[in-house]
Parts: sequence; C-alpha cells; structure tokens
Amino acid sequence: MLKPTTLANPSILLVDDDQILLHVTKRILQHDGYKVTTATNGKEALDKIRNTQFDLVIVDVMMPHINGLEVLSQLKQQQNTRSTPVIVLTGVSHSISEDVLKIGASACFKKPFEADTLREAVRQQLAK
Amino acid sequence: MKLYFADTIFSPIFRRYFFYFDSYPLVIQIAIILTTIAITATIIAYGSILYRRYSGWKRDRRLAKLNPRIDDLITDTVILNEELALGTPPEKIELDLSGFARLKYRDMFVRQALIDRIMHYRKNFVGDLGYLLRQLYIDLDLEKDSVKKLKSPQWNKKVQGLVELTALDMQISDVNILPLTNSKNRELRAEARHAYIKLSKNEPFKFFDIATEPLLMWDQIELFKIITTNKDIVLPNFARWVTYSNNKSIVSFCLKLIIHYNQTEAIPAVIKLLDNRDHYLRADAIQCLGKLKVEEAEDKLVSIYNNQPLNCQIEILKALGRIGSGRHLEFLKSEFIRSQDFDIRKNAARSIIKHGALSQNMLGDLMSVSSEENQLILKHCMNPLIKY
Repeated sequence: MLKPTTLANPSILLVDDDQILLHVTKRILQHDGYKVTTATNGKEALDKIRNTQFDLVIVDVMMPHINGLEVLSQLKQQQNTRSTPVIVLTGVSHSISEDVLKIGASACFKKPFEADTLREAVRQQLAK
Repeated sequence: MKLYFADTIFSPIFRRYFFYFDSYPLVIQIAIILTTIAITATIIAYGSILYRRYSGWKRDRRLAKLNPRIDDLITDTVILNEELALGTPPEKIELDLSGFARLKYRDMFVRQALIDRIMHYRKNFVGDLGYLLRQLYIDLDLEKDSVKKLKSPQWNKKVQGLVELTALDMQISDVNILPLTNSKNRELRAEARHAYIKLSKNEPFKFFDIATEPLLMWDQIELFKIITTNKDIVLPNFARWVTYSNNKSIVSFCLKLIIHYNQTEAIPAVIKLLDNRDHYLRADAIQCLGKLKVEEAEDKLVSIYNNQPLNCQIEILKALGRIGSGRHLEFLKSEFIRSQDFDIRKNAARSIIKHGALSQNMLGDLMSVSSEENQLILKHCMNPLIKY
C-alpha cells in the first residue's frame, strides 16, 4: 500500500549518485518547503517509489546499476506512477534531452544548471 | 682465493650472528647477502605501503568529518544565500566568512578540501551561484594556493594548480602560463594549453607562436573540443600560423580549424602550402581545399598530381570529388581506367560518383567498358550506405 502525501507539503524523490549534488539539491528543495527523500541509484529509487507515492521525481541519467532512463521508463509503464512528473538531470549532451522527453519526462536539465531554473521547474510541475 | 665479504660489506654486528660466514663457500655467502637484501627491501616496501595506507585512511577519515561541515557552510553561505534570494545582484553580495574561520581554513589540508569542494560545486551550478562560488574561492584567498602550485617544481602540482584555476575561471598571467604551454612534460603541456585557451580572453591562441613541442593527436582532439564548444572565444585568422609557424603539428591543427570555421580568407595561405616540402602537410592542405570546395585550386591540384606521393594523390582525387565542378571529370576517368593502384581507382570512382548528375553518362560508359574488378569498385562506390 502506497503512503499518500498531501500537496500542502509536496514530497520529492531526488535520485543522483553524486553525493554532493544530492546534498545541495536536497537542501535547496527543503529550504523551499518540500519534503525530500533521496536515493543514490536507480534500484534504491525504484524500491522507494514502490513503497511511497511521490509528487515529483528528480533523477540523474548516469547512475550505476539502473540508470535514470530506465527509472523513467519504469515509472511511465506503471499505472500508479504514470502521472508522476519526472525531471531529468543529465551531464551528457543535449541530444539526450529529446529522447528523455519522448519517454515521458516533464523537463530535462543539462548539468551544470542554474539552481533557480530547477526551482522554477519544480514549482511549475507541482502546480500542474 | 678466499673472499671476505663480511669484512668489506657488513659490520662485525652482522658477523656475530653468522660465526662461520667467512668459512662458507662463496655461493652460500652470496646467497646469504642476497637473502638479507631481499628481506630488508621487502620489509621497507611493506612498511612504506602500510604507512601510505595509514596516511590515506587518516586523510579519508579527516575528510569524512570535514566535508559535511564544508558542504553545510557552502550551502548556507552561497547556495541558500538570503541576499541572493531577495534579488540582490551577486556582484554586490558580501559573503559571510565567519563560519569558515571556525573551520580553521588557514590549515593547508582544510584549504585543499575547500578548493576541491568549491570546484565540484561549480561544475554543477552556473549563473549567480557559479559567480558566488568563484567569489567565495577568491574571498578565502584560495586563489593564492592555486597560483603557488604553478610555481612548484613538481609537474603534477602544476597541473593541479592549472585545473583549479581553470575550473574557477581565474585569470593567469602570461608569464606564469606561457612557459608551461611549451613544457617537455606532455601532461603539463596539454593542460597548460587547455587552460590558456579557456582563460585567455583576447589572444587564446598566442601559445601557437612559441610552441616548439608537437601537438599530439589526442591533444588536438581535446583542444578542438575546447575551442569549438567555447562560445566566447575570439577566433583569429588561422592563416597566420599556416604561413609562419615552423611547428608542423600546429599548421596541421590550424588547417583543421580553418575547415571547421570555414575560414575562406585563409585560402591563399592554404594554396601556398601546396608547395611545402612536407608531404603530410601538403596532404592536409589538399584536404582543406577540398572540404572548403575551393574551385580555383582545382587546376593547380591536377597540375601537381603526377609529382605527388600516393597519400597526396589520393587527397587530390578526394578533393576533386568534394569540389565537384565537373571540369576535371576526364582526369578522374583516366585515373580510374589507367591506374594500377586499387586506392587510386577506388577514390577516383568515388569522386566521379560524387559529381552526381554531371557524371551520369560517364558512369554508364564506364560500367559498360570497365573490367570486372573496376565494375565491382564502381558498384561498391555507388552504394549509398557506404559513406564517403
């Protein structure tokens, strides 16, 4: 049974194998009032998604074991997570962003990115 | 003859434990000495490995405690900066460094950890945050540490300094960096050249003037990537080095840049290079003229063809195909029919086919009169899946 969340305190799952980026992005989002859960790889992320419903998922593409694209496609295949917006972060070229959007991501950002741009994208996705 | 190894090499202390050493046969004496040396060397090696591992473990443990504190400080001071959130322009923000003072940031170890951390943050964040991270690096005087590394006698320290200054987008004076761009050490030379192109705002290619060491192929790939992805770079006319540089690798690299940036103003210098004595450079120049589709160079290329080595002849055939004016189709046809060399025939065929509609009739004729092998070559070259 998935644990539901309230939109008054939206919950975000943040997935990245870069511990520093994970820490900083978490702090930024927490500062903006979101409840942030972190995962350092795709497998851990999918386990957490199975147990809890998140209002938004932010996932990095390049990760060990299960990469961000696989996490995204699995989310979009499952009935209960299909509508969850997903923001993808990538360190690789821009060409990947089209593929990511085709799979069903709501937005794609190339690293390095501006923190405000990410904040704005999170706000927009949660407002939908 | 009796040899007294113990007297000459070892002290009496050694002899105390080997009473009969002098009476042993020579082979045994040598064996004892070698065994002793081997055991001593092994103990020293293990000792140094253990010491290094212990130092590494201590360093990691210290970093594990320090890094979260640095992360929190950077996050509070820069990432979640209140003035920035209120819309104050980043250049007017004065960073509060009191937290860093508590971190004892004058300690060299802490300073290096801070540099590494700030660099990592800057790789992930641009815009105002990137500006503030750079400002933090300057305010903490970490820049001085990086500049100091450039003057270290160790090449790896110099590389480290260059990487830090480049990552934080700091200016490096020409006096410090230009000599490094011509260093005998390959890694240092490459890093200095990358840094120079990234950091020099007015003349990023100045080091081409003094470069005597070759630009290796891998360096060229790296530099090409940096140059072509850096939007703010001031592009000079690369004909300058094609004409005056004595460094063949620089000339060759400039020809590639001329092609990439389609620098038609460099064409006269490239045509002049056809008279160069080095046939590798001539081949590069011919390739450049072909890729730039310089029609006025066609006659010259055909006129020098017979005096060229094979690599240049192949490049001339390719260039005629790329230019594709049709004025030298008969020349290509005669090379295809006459030549005994497979590569010549293959490239002549490809170039004829590249002429498209202009060579349709000629291709029909060639298919009907050619030998079986030449027909196979033509069919192979006509396959659209095989790229030219």
